[in-house]
Amino acid sequence: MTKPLENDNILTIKASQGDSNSFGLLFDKYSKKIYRFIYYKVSIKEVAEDLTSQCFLKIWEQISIGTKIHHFQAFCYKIARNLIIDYYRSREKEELPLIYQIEHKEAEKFQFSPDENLDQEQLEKILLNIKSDIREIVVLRFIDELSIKEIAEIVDKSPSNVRVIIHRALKELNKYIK
Amino acid sequence: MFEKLVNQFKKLQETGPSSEWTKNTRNFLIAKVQQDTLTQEPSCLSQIKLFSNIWFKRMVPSSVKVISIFAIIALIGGTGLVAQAEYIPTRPLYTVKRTLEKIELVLAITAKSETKVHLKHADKRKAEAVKLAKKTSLSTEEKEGLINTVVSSLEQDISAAASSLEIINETNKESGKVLELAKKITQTINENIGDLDQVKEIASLEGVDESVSEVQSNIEESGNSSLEVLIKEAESLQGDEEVISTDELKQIIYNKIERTSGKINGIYEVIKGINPDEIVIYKEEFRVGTTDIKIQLNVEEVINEAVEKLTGAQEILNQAKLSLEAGSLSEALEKVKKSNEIVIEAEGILAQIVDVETEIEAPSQLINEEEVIGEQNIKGVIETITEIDNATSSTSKTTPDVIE
Repeated sequence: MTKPLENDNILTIKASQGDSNSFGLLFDKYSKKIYRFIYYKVSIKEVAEDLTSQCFLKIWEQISIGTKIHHFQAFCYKIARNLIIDYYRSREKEELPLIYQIEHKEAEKFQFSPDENLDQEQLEKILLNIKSDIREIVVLRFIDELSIKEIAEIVDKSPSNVRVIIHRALKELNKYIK
Repeated sequence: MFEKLVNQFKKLQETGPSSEWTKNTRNFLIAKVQQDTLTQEPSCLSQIKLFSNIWFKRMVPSSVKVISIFAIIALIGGTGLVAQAEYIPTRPLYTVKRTLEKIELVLAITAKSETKVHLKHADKRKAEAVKLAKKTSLSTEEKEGLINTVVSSLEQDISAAASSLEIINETNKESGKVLELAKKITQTINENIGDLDQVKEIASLEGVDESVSEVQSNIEESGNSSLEVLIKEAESLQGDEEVISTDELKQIIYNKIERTSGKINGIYEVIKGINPDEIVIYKEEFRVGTTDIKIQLNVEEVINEAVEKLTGAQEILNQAKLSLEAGSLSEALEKVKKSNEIVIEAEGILAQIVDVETEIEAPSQLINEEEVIGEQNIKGVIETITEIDNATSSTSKTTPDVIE
């Protein structure tokens, strides 16, 4: 018999009471999103997996000490963001894997017609060539389909600011269209 | 055009970790949870402890609140009643009033009672906002600040009520209670939105207009989930024992359509007031040596983009009206939500012009966007400026006095 989909708050409470399956359900629900969010910041699969594990460990730490979590999803993303910042501080600069580096001169060649069906690799190339702060919002808005308000809470900016960044992102993406 | 590209990004939802990693990490985390909670007492005892902890935390959450409770009990006599009448946030009695409200919230045992308390507080904030708008003895800045404080709290209460409803919806087997609450939330939000229009009208201040409009949008958005619950119930029962009549729901959705239409018209009015020839906005500014270089924004293009969005939003809104007339409430609501999202995008586009201060600069410093394509132009400019810098040398250092 399958249980109905449980609210995050209830799963968190159950997990804090020792119900490991509840925490497992939270992991099932958010691990892919958090991995994706991290991956499109760090660009390296192994690092993204490592940071995602760390993220859920930190989440568990907070649950176990009784931290009140109002919005679990936003909480996950915030922890993930902090881990990414720590990761970059421990390295000195952001490095894109060579396969995703597109020379400025080649940007004109890397363009698609509006109706062209792009595969995952092509979409990732475009995404990873957008500036990091804009890319973050693109991932949250167009891939994870979060609302402006949710995004504003995660990135700690005002909704107006988020809207302006989305607009800039759309302008950037326009460069890739013939 | 980029919308098709944007839609394609959804394919990246497939991106994920390897299944092996997922399985191993999940097992590791579950083991970690089990290990960390291993020293917990047997489940029934831990349940009792947790239950009593919850009750204890609700009654006596912290020493600060213990002191507050004793202080409030000491004050409660006449002061508490007097405090209820206070509506100006900067006054001491208002703090007493809000503390009493927090206690009321702490004492709300169930999610249902918590929701009702939040709605009650939201109504109080709305009443305060109306009184503040009517008050003539406040300066403009003071009035704006106080109204903004009060409506922000209103928004928080509505948002909290909507969140509580979601929890109740997930856990409560008695759908009747959920529907009753959803109805109460929907009606409260509707009333508040209407009364906040009154606040804007009475106050007639730009600062109040903006912040109250934002709060209205946000509480409307918060109310969508309760409205969906009611629509779902209405569509399944179809006339039998409805908590809220279909006509009432239609009216609520119709009001939403009207408000969105009003927003669209408001933005068109803003656009009409913009003369692209009189505006100079720089989308990028940077310094090379001692020279400021500014890249101008194409204002007409921005306006056209915003107008395109608004046209799209209006079309979807017209479709929402047709769906409403056809009796398809959920479809109508979805279309209104979609239209609102596009309006917000249009506002974001216009924010580049509307939110930025404009200035007029000496033409020699301006570089038109079309002229700055590729690195070569910039490099050429930089080389020239470097030569000038080197020629003038560091001995001719400018001081603030000289500039003045």
